[in-house]
Amino acid sequence: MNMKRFFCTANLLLGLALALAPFVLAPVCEAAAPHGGHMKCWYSAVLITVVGAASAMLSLLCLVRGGKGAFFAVLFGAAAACVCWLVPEGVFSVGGAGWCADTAHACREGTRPLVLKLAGALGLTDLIGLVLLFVKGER
Amino acid sequence: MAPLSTFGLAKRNIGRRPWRSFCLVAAVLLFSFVLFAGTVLSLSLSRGARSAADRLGADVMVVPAGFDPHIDSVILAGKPSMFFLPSDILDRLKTIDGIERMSPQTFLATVRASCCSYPLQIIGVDYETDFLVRPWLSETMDRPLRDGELIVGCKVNGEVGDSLHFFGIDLPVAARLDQTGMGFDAMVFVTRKTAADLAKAAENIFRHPLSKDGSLISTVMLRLKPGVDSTSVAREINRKMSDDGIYALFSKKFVNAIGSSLAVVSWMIRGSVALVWLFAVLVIALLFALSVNERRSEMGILRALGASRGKILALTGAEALMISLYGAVLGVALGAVATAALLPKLAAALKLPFLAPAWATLALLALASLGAAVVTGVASAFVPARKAAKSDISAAMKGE
Repeated sequence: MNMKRFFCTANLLLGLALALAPFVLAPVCEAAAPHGGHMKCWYSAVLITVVGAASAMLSLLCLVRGGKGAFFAVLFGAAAACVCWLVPEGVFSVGGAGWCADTAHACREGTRPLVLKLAGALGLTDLIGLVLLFVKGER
Repeated sequence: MAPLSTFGLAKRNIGRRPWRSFCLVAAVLLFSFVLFAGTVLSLSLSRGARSAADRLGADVMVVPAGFDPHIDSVILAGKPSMFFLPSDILDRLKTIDGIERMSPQTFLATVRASCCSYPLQIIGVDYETDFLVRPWLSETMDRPLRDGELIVGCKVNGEVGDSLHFFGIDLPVAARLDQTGMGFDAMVFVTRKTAADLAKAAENIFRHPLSKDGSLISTVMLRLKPGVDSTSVAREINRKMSDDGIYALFSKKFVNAIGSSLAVVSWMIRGSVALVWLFAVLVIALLFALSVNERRSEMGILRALGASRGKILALTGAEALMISLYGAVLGVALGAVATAALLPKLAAALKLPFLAPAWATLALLALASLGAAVVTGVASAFVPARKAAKSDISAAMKGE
């Protein structure tokens, strides 16, 4: 397997895992917020699912095209990892996303640790990918 | 066939030894990351310390004996706490010489009453005598704080006009404080009467001493007359009142402790940056020397085809520039992510105030770190490149 296909495959798997994490693998809190709407973690879950799915689809497209566009897919994956880490942590405010303050909640016990690990793995893989694809001239 | 341009050849040379090029990019990446993140951390801690010195306002703080570590946590981290002084503390402090102004404060800690709430520190201030909060608000609120309303720190959710819910009471937000880098950012300020009313409402959830006696005081902030030494006033208070469970600490001690910790952390950051720079310089110089040595015959052929010494130098320089620029961009980007995600948590763990610089300053720091990393990479490759350019054509072609 050449380098482009390897990183596209890694991005596809990690992107898919990120997309599934908040609602399937480690679901966020189901209860409604005191004001009746969704809690912050639900909005984080939507954001993470959308971003993870977009990264996975871009990588799949790249694989189908025989590795063309791999550099862009890896760059998008790195950006996706940053968004999935920084926005729910409250570093940037996007659409009310965040994690619940109560550490006993499902989102803090299950979803957040899993998302941080997956985003970290995706970010690290794509950082290495960005360097290797550059030095091998595949950009 | 594509023309043999300098950058075209440089690109091919980079791809020819991918793992060596990977190590070169990684060395520059590491240096630019440590330089940017370290500089931002150092600057943010300095700004936090300066903010602490400017914002504290009080020369001496009087707290119950044994609770001086708590006041540190309250001021630095905004960690909710509740403690109370004897009820006649103000009368007793009037007997101490050198005090210009006294301002009592009452601390009330909220609890996690519902799934989406989190504990906050509420401070009841005597707005008439206050000299801590009022100076901060002089530009944003041109009237006194009234009963039944609150002022929030910058990290508390709620804009001016919104209402916050405490113990079953909704209180409108009258103003927001600018960021201080200290625990005040996560606090809420009300009048002492409002604090007493909240404590009465809190009786529905837990017993609170403030609900029985609304005049309870948690701490007294003292401003001294000009020329009066805060250390001697604090010592006088401790001498007269320590047996009654009262303790005075002078805020300079607090600020000096922050300054000492900051000096140690700053030295560690500078040392790390210097070590990583040295590592990067050595790795880049060594790898470029190896690379140039391996390609002596290739360079000899290029010279024989008409390439000047300058062209050979430019070729190695172009490789170094491409590698350094790419590594520096990635390193600064990684540094920006680490700065946003991890540095505030690191500062909280070190128990130091943290006040991040403005966006414009961060952008300038990023550009400066990028420039420094690129210059380091190109300069480190200069010596082996110059040596290759100076060699004789026939000797080079023979690989000597």
